[in-house]
Amino acid sequence: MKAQVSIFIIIAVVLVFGLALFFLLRPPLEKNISPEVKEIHDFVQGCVATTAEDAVYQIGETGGYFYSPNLSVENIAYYYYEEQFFVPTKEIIEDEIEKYIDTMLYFCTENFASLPQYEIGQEKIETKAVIDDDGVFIEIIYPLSIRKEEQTFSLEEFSYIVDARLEEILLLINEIEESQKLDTKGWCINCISNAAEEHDMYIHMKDYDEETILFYVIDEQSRVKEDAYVYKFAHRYEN
Amino acid sequence: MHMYTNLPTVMKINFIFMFVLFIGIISAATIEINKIKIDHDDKVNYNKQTNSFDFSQGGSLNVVYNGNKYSYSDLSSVDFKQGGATITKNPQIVFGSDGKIKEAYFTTGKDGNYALGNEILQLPSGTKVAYKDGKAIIQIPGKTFTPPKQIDRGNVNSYMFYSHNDQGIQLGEYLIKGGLGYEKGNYFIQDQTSLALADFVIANPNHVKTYIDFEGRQNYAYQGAYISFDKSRGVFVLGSNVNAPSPSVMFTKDNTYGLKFDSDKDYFAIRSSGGSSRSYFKITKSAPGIVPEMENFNDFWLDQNGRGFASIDGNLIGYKSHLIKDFGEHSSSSSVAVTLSGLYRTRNSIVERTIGNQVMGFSNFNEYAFGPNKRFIRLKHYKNHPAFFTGISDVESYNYDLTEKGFERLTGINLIAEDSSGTSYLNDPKNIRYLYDLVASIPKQQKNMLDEMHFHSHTPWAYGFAQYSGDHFEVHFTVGQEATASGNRLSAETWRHEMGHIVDFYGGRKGNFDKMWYNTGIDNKVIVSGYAHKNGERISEFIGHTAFASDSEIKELLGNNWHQDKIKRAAFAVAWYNYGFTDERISEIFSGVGLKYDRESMYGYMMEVGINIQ
Repeated sequence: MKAQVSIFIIIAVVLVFGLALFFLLRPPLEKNISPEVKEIHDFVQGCVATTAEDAVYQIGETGGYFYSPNLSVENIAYYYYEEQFFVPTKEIIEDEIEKYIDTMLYFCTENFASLPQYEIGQEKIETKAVIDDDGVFIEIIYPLSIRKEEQTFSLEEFSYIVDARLEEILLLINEIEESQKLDTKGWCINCISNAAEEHDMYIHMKDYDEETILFYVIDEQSRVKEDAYVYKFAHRYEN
Repeated sequence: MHMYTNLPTVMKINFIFMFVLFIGIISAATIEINKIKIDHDDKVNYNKQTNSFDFSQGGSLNVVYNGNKYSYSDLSSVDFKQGGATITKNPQIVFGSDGKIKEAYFTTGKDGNYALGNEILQLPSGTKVAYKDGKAIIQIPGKTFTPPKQIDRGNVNSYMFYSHNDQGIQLGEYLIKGGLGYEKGNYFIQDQTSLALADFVIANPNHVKTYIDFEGRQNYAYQGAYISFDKSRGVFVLGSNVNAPSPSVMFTKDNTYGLKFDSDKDYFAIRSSGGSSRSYFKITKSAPGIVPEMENFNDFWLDQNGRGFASIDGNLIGYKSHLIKDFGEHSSSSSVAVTLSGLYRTRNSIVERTIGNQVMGFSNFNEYAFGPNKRFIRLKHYKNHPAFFTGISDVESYNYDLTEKGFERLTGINLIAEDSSGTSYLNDPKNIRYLYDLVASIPKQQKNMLDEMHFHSHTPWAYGFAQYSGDHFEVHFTVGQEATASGNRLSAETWRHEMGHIVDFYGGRKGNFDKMWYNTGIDNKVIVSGYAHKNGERISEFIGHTAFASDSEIKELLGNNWHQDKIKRAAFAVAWYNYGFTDERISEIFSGVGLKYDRESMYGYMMEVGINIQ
C-alpha cells in the first residue's frame, strides 16, 4: 500500500514537472495575425528589427546615447573627463535606446506610404528596452488601426532581440573605469587588457588629440547590423 | 722661579723647550701620533692642539705608513671652484688621533704619492687637493688618475676628480666632464645636471649619486643609483638602490642596444624609481632582426615620443604626455620598437612577475599592445575579418623595413610584380605590412612551403590562383584597379584559399593531407560553398572560409552543432595537423564551441574518423 502511494506521488510529481517544463520551454505562440494585415505586420516588424539594430548600433557609436551629451567628442561621450567620471548607468542606456526607437521608428514606417492600399492610423510609439545577458530585448507598443475595404483591424505589440552582449560590455567598461582610479592621469594598460580577456572582447584605444583617447570595445560574439559590435567611449586626461 | 734656578742646566733647556711647545709653535721635530712618526722641518708650523701642519711658509713633512715614507713639500695654497664648492685655503694638513691625515688642503708642487686618510694617491705636480673626513675633491692637470691604494683595512675615501679647465676625466673610453667620483673601486657621477656619455644622455637635476660601470647588469650593492652598460653585449641597466629615483637617461640615435630611430624626432627615455626594495630597468639588444627587449624590477618611467608609460606597483600605466621632463618636449609620428617582456615587483619581500606571460609591445608606428606572443601581438582585426589581425611584432622588418626586399629577407618568399599594378602595389608600405599580416596568420610551416607571390593587374582566373612545379610553389593575386574599387583584391579569404591549395599540393605535414581528407569522408561533410563542389577546391575552400571567420560564421557554414559531428571536428583537426591553421587559430575555433584543443584531444578527434597519429 505504502509502495503504491509512493508510485502515485512520483507520477504526480513527474506530471507536474513535465507540464511546468512544457509551458516554460515551449516556443511562444505566434500572435494571431489576421492574414489581411500580415503584410503590414511584417513590414512594421521589419522596421522594428532595423530600428532596434540601428538603435543599439548608434548607442555603441556614441557611448550610450541617442543624442550625444555635451561632454563628448566626435559624438562619443566622455566617460572620464579630467578626473571626473560620467559613465551612464544601464538604465540610462536603456532609456536612450527607447528614445531612439520611439523617435526613429516613424522614419522607417514613413506613414505607411509604401502601403497605399491600406488606411492606417497610428498612435504614439512606446518602447521598452531591457539590456540582458542574452541580448537587448525590445518590446514596442505601436498602436495601429488599419482599415481595408470596410474591415478594421488593429496591431499593437512588436518585439525584437538584438544579439549584442551589451550587458557584458557595460560590465567590462565598469572594470575599466574602476582601474582608472589607480592613476587619475593615466590608464592601467594591463588592467584593461585583463578585463578585455576576461570578457572575451577586444579593446582598441585611439588617440584623438593631445588629451583625449577614444576607446573601442569590440565584441566579435555580438552581431549588430550583421557585424561585430563596437561600443565607443572617450577619456580625457589633463596634461 | 726659585725652583727653576735650582734645576740642572740640561733640565732647564728641556723645560724651556717644553714651554715653547706648549705655547703652540715649535721648529723642526718628529712627532708621533698613535705610533705614526711625522717629521717636519722648521718652516712647517705645527699646532699640537689641532695636530695641524701649516705649509704657508713652505717646508716639508714626511710621514711613514707600513715602512713607506710619504713626503709633503713644495705645497702651495689651493683655490678652486668645483662642483658648487669654492675652496680657498692655505696649504695645510691635519692629522687625526689615529695618525692618518684627516684634513688637507694643498696644491702639489711635484709628482708623488700622497696619503689622504687611509689611502695613498699618486698625484702629479699641480694637483689641487681638498680633503676632509674621508671626502676628497681633487683637480688634476691631466685627464686620468690612478686609483688610490689602501694603507690598511680601515676606511676608504670618497673622491671627486676634476680636471683643470674641465677638460674631462677619462673613464674607460669616455671623457667625463663635470667631475668623476671614485669610491671603493667604483666610479660615479653626481655633480652634473646633464651629461652626454657613450650613446645616451644623463639628466640628474637632483644630483643623485650615480655609479657607472661597464658590466651591463643589475647591481644591488651600490649605495645610490647606477648605470651599468656593456656595449659589446648591447645591455643597458639603469637602477636605483636608494630611496630616490635614478637620473633620467635619453638614448641617442646611434645607440648599441638596438633601439632604432628612423626619425630624428624619435625620443626614448627611461628612469628607474628606486625605493626601499630597489629598482632597475634593463634593455637588451636581441638577436639580429629582432627589436630589443626590456625588463624592469619595481617601478619605472618610460617615454616614447610624446607619450609616457610607467609601472606603478606592478601595473602598467599609460599617459598622454611625457613623464620625464628633463629633455624637453618631443613628439614624432614614429616610436621606437621594443618589447617589455619582464615586469617584476617586490611584494612582502617576495619578487613576483606581475604580468604573467604577457608582453607589452611597442611598434615603430606609435602603437602599443599587450599580449602573450611578442612575435605578433594582436592590435586590432581587419574590418569584416574577425580573426585576421594586424599587430605588433618584435621582428625588426615588420617595424622598419616595409619594403619588398625587407619582406623577402624576413619571410624567404619572393615577391614578383607582373605588371605596373603589381609594382605599384609592392611599392606601398601599407601593402607590405598587410602582406606581413597575411603571413603572420598562417603557420610557419605553411609559409615555408611557399616560394613566390605574384601580383597582377588581373590574374587569368578569378582573383588568384596557386600552382606548383616539382618543389616550387607559387601563388598569384589580382591587385589591379579593375578588380575592385579599392584596387586590392588580395582579400584575406583569397589568400587563405590559395594557401590552402599550397598546403594541399605540398601534402601537408607528411604528404598525407589528401589521403587523410578524402579517404575518411571528410570532404563530403564540410562543403562550405558552391565552389567547393569543384574538384580540388574542397580543402582550400574549407580553410579559406574558416580561417578568419567568427564562431557564428563558422556555425552558419557548418551548422550550429558542427562540433558534435565527429567528421566536422576531425576536418579542423586534420587541417590543423597538416599546417592549415595555426595553433592559436585552432584554439579559437575549438574553444568557441567548448571543445578541447590540446594535442591529445586533436589526435583523438582524428582517431574518431580512423586516423591514427603515431
